[in-house]
Amino acid sequence: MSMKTNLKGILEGSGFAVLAAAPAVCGTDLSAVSDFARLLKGKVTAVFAADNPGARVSASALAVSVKLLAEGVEPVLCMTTRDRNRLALESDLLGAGALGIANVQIVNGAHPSLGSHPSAHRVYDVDAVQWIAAATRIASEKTLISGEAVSGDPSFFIGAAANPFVKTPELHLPVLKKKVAAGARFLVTAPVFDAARLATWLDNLKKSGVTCPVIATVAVLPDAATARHLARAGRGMAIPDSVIARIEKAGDKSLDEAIAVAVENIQAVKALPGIRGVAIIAPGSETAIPRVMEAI
Amino acid sequence: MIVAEHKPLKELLALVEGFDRILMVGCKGCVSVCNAGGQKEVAILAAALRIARKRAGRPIAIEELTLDRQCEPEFIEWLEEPVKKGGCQAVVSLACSIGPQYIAEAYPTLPVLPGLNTTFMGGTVTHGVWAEYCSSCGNCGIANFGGLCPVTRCAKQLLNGPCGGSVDGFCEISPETPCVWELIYERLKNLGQLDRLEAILAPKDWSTSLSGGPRKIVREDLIL
Ligand code: SF4
Ligand code: SF4
Repeated sequence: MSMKTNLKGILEGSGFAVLAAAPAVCGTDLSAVSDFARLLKGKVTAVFAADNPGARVSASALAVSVKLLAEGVEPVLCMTTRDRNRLALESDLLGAGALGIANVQIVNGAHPSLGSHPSAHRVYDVDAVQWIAAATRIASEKTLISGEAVSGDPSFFIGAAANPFVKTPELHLPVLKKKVAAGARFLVTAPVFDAARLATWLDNLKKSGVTCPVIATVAVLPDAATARHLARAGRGMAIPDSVIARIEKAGDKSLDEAIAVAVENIQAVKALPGIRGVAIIAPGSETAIPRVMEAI
Repeated sequence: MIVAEHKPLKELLALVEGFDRILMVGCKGCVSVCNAGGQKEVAILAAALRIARKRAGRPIAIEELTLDRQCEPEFIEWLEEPVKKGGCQAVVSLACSIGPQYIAEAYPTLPVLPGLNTTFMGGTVTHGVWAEYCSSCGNCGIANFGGLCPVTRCAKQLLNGPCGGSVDGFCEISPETPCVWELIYERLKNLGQLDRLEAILAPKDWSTSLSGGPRKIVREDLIL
């Protein structure tokens, strides 16, 4: 079965994809995910089911993806190489295929020391490039990393992460080239707060021969304190002081201001050649996402 | 060398609780070079334990001895006399944790306590500073990386290039940990080998590492 995905259809065609990240739930009651799906059904191309985002535990991306599917919303299953070795990754990917999940976003993931279990054993048996290549081969050659054959007819549409705001793009561009060569069919950026820098990076990406569609992430920052923490914590977040100051100044209305910032960022990135979609993340304020989407 | 540091005094006191006659054994090898378990450190730690126990009203007798090495059985034999003569109830080893395990094998009924935390395989950065360079994966691949090791020095042991978390040349885990991929890039540039960054390296075979179980090398040509 060659699984058709809306996301694939849009990115391989000429449309503009609109994605959002489902709430990360640390618990067994996933009604927030179902509510979120109902809120966005028909308005988004697909929804990300995060994999222990920020190295903090939440109900598995596979379970969240199943909830999304049940509500008629197309999931993007996120997989980090941080918590599972090749056996676990392969087994989860086969399981995802069996459940009809085709979009997969592969990332290395934040280091455990930044998350809720800093004393955890890190895994990183394979890195994101290797796992993209292996996941691609599971579909194209129907073989695992070991060479063992897999049954069925798996088909995946694989994405990768890109941080346009690193200080040494010459060192990071080759990794992106490898991710695409390994089988990534779209790139999802780190949150964008500076469209001009994104434009420069897109230009460099093009010059280096990477032509795959780019989805720009736009974040609704929860509050000034979190924004400041994220800007400092070394998570590839380039959040300008001016943005943090705006949200801080808004006081009680900080969410409104954060939404206004997100709307401005969406309008700025949408106009850039090479941007084929946006992914809206609003940790803790997911219900604000429809308001942000009005800007698209 | 193997780099270690002594356990906090509080933990050491808890380890020797219940004993009033012990033998503290240092090592003149790596741990002496990193000032953790040589003759001097044995003297200092033994004195600290004696003082603390005296203050607590439970004095402890500590005999001191420093072996040339604790990672070779023939040096462990030197313990025979002090263990027997001294009538010690337990041995605290200030070697890397190979030492206490050798002593445990040699004296099946004698409690052996580690006085050090064996930290990593590394080298001196500057006086008083040591850092980790190799984690003995058993299949050295640093020729791919300009001679630097991402398995050990990249917090995510990424083999195909950096993650997006590096900030101003430092790793996302700490502003004090250099991002090794930045260093690898500079090396490859200096070596005229930047094309190596373009090659996709396949998943590593970890069976030669500790993942494959405890390791052993047998050199038939050296066996007597
Ligand atoms: S590749 Fe393996 S053997 Fe070589 S330095 Fe790194 S950990 Fe040590
Ligand atoms: S910042 Fe550099 S050293 Fe740290 S995990 Fe990422 S690539 Fe590895």
